[in-house]
Amino acid sequence: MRTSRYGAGKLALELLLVIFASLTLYPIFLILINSVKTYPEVMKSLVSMPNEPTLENFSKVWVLMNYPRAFLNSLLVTVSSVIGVLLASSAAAYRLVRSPGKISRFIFYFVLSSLVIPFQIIMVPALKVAKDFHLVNTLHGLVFMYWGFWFLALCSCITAL
Amino acid sequence: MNKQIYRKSLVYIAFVGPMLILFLLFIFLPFIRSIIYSFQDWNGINSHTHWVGWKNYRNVLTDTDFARTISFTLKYVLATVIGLNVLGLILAVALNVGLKSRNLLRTAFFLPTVMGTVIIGFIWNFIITRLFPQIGELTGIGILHSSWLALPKYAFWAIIIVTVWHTLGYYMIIYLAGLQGLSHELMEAAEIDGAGRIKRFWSIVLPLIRPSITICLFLSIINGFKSFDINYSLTMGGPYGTTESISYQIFQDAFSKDLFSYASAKAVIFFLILTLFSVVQVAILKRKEVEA
Repeated sequence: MRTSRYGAGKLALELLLVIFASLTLYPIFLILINSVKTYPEVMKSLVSMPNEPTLENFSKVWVLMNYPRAFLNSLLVTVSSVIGVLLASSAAAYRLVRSPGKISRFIFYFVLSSLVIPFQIIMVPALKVAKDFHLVNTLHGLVFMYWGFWFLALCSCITAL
Repeated sequence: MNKQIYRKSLVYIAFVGPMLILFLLFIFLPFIRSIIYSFQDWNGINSHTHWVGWKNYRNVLTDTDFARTISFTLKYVLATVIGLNVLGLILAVALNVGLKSRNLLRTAFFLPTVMGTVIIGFIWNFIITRLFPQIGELTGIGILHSSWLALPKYAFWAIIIVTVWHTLGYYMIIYLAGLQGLSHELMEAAEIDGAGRIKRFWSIVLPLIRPSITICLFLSIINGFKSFDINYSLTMGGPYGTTESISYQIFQDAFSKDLFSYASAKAVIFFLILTLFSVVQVAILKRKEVEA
């Protein structure tokens, strides 16, 4: 391979990609600069750099939406969902691959085919199931549901590998 | 001997069971319930339900709103699949040639993917309604002066742009992984045989990264059909429902209009369309995969 050579062509490509990447990142940059502006300033111009950067927005949000609590909730749900999904999916995928046969293949395709079920169709009935098991409005209930929703994706990925 | 089989199946159940139970509980059972609802006249709240047979399905087939969302969704899928896969592959190839800042660039292109879709919709709403006119004023490009989210034709492209911006990095990574799995010997052999850059790409690289292409096409088609978040947060399905995806309309019917069983019938039809597309597509692409 002659990839080690770095000529004018590569420099041009690199510059082009840097421009393209900057465009890609621009909306994220906008969020950052607008988060330290005051409201009138944001309304005046979206792209101008902040005149006098202020952290007022952050402190307001921190209190208003009870940020620590919300973040803790997200963190708990994410960590326990990931752990549960990893354990159960890899266990299932391992057995499915190690004992090939009609049953394993059926389970695999059965689970995999549910990838095409649109979430909106199962939303309300899933809520009913959760209610039957008294899982509504609890954190662990949410975690259980995530387990159910994400197993298939991960399980099918691992099995496919 | 019998004891061994018993033990084996016990282990099998212990490993596969947990996954299967939760899957049945939260995906399969709700799905079956939805199919049952589609033959009833439940509105989502009422405790009295009646069987109405195929009535919901007959209504769906004569519903012009549903026909419109299907045509929107098909166009949307076509545009995003082409955009995501062509651009994703180009980016992956460009980032695979050994540029100095390639790690930084890969991160930059991947960054939008990790952001939540709802947030992205709101930000882009702001950018399109407030920033586009500002740029238009500065540069004199007339097209940026129109209110993009109020005109059906522009709103469509606004959704396409935001979707491609948001998920491009994901497909780029899959293609990149495929490209990095290529063996150098094959490329060298082709080079010695006198194959040019373009010839090498078409006859060696493309056939060998076919698995990546299969995955990317499958994912982009499925995700395109199921698109919901961006339609919800960017345009709310508007203007005049022209950017309503099928998922979005099902959601609207079920929760805003309280037509739950009608929405279920739509969802079942949607599921059948989706299944058909995926089966056909996987069957076609699987057949053409080759190994080095």
